[in-house]
Amino acid sequence: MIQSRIPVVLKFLRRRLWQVAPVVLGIALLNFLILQLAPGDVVDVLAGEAGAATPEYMAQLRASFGLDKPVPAQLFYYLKNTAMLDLGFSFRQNMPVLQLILERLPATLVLMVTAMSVAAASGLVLGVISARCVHRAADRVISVFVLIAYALPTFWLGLMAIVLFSAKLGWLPSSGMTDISVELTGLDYLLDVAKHALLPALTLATFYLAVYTKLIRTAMLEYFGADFIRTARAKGATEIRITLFHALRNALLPLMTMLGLQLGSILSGAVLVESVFSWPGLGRLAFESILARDFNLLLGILLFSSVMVTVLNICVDVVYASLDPRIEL
Amino acid sequence: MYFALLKEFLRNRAAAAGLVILVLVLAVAALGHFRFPGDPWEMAAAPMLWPGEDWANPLGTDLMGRDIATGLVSGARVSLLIGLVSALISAIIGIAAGALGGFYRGWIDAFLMRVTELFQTVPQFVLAVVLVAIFKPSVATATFAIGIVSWPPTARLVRSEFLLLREREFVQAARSLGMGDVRLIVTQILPNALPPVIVVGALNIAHAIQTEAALSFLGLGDPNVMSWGTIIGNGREQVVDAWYICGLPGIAIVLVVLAFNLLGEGLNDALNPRLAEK
Repeated sequence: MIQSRIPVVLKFLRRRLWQVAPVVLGIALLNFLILQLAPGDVVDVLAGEAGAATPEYMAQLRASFGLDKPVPAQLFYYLKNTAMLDLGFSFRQNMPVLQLILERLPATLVLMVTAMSVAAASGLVLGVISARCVHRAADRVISVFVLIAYALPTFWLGLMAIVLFSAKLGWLPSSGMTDISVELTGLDYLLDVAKHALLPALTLATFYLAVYTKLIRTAMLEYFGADFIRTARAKGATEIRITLFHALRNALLPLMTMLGLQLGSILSGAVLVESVFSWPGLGRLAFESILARDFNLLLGILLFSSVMVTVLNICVDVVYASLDPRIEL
Repeated sequence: MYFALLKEFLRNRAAAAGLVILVLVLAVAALGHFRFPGDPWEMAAAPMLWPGEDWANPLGTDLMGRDIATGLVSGARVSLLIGLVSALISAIIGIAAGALGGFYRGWIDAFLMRVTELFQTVPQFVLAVVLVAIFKPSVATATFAIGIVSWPPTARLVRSEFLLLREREFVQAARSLGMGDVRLIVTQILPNALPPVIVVGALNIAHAIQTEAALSFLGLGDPNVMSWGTIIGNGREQVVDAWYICGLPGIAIVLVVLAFNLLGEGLNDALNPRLAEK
């Protein structure tokens, strides 16, 4: 049965990948608009502060944007460059923007996926506990935790985690992705990365953990009153079975929807977490480009991260369909 | 009616707590200047004084000897100002987009929804960072940037309310009386669509305050204005030796954000009493 779904998935993917194109176009238009509205010439903005770029580079940039031509022609050049995935050159880092981004991408994906798995798994557990013990002590404690986690600024939580777990207790490293003083391979390397990833991932996960806990709690409470649960009870299914197989499976659907909606916000959170923990990903790159006023790189990151959100959304849709057979791909 | 609403609201202990915190923060923002006069950027005492070490600077000083309490008072003003104004901007854009789309439907709606989706796909904070960085960091750019990136949920909400309300009898009655589109939207439909928008607005303020703090933390704050995020950003290099420099403004952010979240939830329960009983 699983095998029969594979061609369907492939067809779906082909159709959905076409939907990435309008997103790229939209972001490119937005970027162009920002550049047009920005104070000064497009090239001044892109090259950062005056004096940073050589005159040759500025002239080359002006030519590539067709700045001597009217605005529609400039727009055409910009869109053409973007469509060919030519995101330009980062003068500060002395590398093409696309290459810089692709180098940093894996680290961000590791962080995002770890944080989301932690958030979803713990959110499920806490949400189920909360719903089973509604209005009792456990539920109240979890509700207070959720309220506070909602209000914690990610970057501040990260800093405080460094103070407690790295400085005071000395349990975990506070920055980077690997220990640069030693050369590690194989399993040791993975363990080292895991150790470095723990604090940033937990920091990023906290807010979403709260969101998912609340979501699962509400959904479970709603399902406990539903007809299909009453049927299951009448059938003589145990409470554990009803909770885990009947209610929870359905409560997973709003969780997936929420996860898909929040991908952009998770990426935004990663920017902050990465700059706190010096995690060498896209967010850290964005932070570096702010400090260096490297706007071309910053706009490239904006474009690329939007495309990434769209692509990840497609993945979420595939998972959604595999959870809910009623959904057609 | 408003009195009943207020009573309903205050019966909710969490919402009342939110209101109390908010009033306290407002008092600090409005009156704190009298207790802690002086420029938050000026060196007031020896650097890195711990809180309580010297009662002239009750909350201590930072690396440059700047008084933290003075900075916190200044931060309270900035946070509330940027939070309120940017939430207002976001509400205006969101209501306009949602009302037009939901009322006229057709191609206007299709176009506005595409734009809304685009703004929902773009990582909001990254867009805010780009806007503030390119248009030079200041209170005004931060406010506008936060407003511009945060309107899509309001637009979707208003649109769905408008789609429902435009078919209702009272709207059709008003239309058959010869009321024009603008008056229909502003005087008939909008007042009925507003309650959920107000709830989202309160949550938006909380989110805007967090976003502002994050922007200043990354060094994208107004260089002339001391905000909570600025203090945290300046203190991060010394966070291990003097955690209070980052810790205190962070606690302030948590309290204000918590207050607005509680307020939003309380309003939600007061405006939808049937939901609250569940």
